[in-house]
Amino acid sequence: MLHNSPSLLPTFVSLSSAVPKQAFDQNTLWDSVFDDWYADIPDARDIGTVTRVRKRHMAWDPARELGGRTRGIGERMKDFVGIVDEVAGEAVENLLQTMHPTDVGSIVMASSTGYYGPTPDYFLAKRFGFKSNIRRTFIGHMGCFAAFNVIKTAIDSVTTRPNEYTVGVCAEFSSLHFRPDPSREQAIVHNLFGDAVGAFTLAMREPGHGPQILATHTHQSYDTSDMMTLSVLDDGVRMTLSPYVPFVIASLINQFIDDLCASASVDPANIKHWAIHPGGPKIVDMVAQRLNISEHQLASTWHVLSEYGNCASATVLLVLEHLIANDKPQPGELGVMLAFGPGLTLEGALLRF
Amino acid sequence: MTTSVQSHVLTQVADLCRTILEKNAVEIEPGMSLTRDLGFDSMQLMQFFAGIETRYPAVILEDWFIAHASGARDTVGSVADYIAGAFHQQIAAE
Repeated sequence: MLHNSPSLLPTFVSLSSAVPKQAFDQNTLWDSVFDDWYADIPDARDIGTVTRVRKRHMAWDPARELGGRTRGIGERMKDFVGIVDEVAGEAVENLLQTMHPTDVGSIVMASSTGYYGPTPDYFLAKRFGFKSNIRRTFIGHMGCFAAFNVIKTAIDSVTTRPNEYTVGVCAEFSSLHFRPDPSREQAIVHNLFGDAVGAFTLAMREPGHGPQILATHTHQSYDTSDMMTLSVLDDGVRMTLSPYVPFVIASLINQFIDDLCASASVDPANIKHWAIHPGGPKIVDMVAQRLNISEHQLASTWHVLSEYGNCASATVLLVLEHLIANDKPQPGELGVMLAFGPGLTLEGALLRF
Repeated sequence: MTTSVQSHVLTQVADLCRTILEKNAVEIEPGMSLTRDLGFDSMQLMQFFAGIETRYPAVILEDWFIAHASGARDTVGSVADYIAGAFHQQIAAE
């Protein structure tokens, strides 16, 4: 259990998201650039369908910004500075409709797609009038599960200082790292990832003010470190993704859920809502099969994959936001957030709505 | 030393690979990686695991792929060795 009080718990009092303005469907991307990049890969265009991604928002239009060439990491990071301020700024501005900026004690931010200093959280704090003594943390390069690093840091902040709000932000712009690398693996990556910002406000609250976090859990699989990697190259961040990833996650997921639920004395059979990071369709399929999750319960997960793609650390926050709006969980119902990433690492949180 | 069980299993695993690849004439060597050399994606891996489960219901491949999935160690021969080893353990236990 996270807190001795049975009712006052870290609570998502608000959630918000924002995306770059330009969006592309898969056919447009194939027609404009991917057909050239992957001309030598048999049945390459099928990859665009297999990922179950219909549309993505992207800071960079790969046809216009790259075409047949690549670009250096410096140019990519320069454009990150502008887009993160614009899109993360929109997401944080939405959060501030329900609180005053001076009530925010901490801001925690994650990204695996952009780096500069002062880190973007500094500029967000300045722009929105947060106190000059605000506690800032920037979490870099953890990958798709980094929302949980943000959430757990936020939990530590609000449990230590229960009168303050903590703002959490996950900002990912994978399109800034697209490269014309003609391999099947990179074709899958480039047909899966999109850009988005997910943000939340966490505070200590009684039931009825938003999803309360009953427990969190982490599992590192120490034998699988090269199944998913994020390498910084001279021309961008290159992601690798082994086809074994869904199988490893599936082999670990039941024990993971048992451990997550046991820490809050909850029977896994009572979980009604699932916000799963759609790392890829096979991951979702296999996790759902192992945990007996219905297609209806996966609606928000599939929706986000289809309409936004895999937006790395922001994705699970987008799924939770959509799930709350779409499924309208009833007070007291239980839910689980899950994400997976390099390590392989599994992260989860148990929620009570 | 290659036992007759290992040899038989290796033949069956190679045949399964050919079926998944839909290439009956392709040469399948024991040292070939399922993903790097044969190019299996996650859908084809699923077919492969299902095929192994059908042929050897008592064999669970989870330990194998966690140990062998990295660094192109997921060879046809390593799967055959793992299955044959599981057979030997089963016989010894009986």
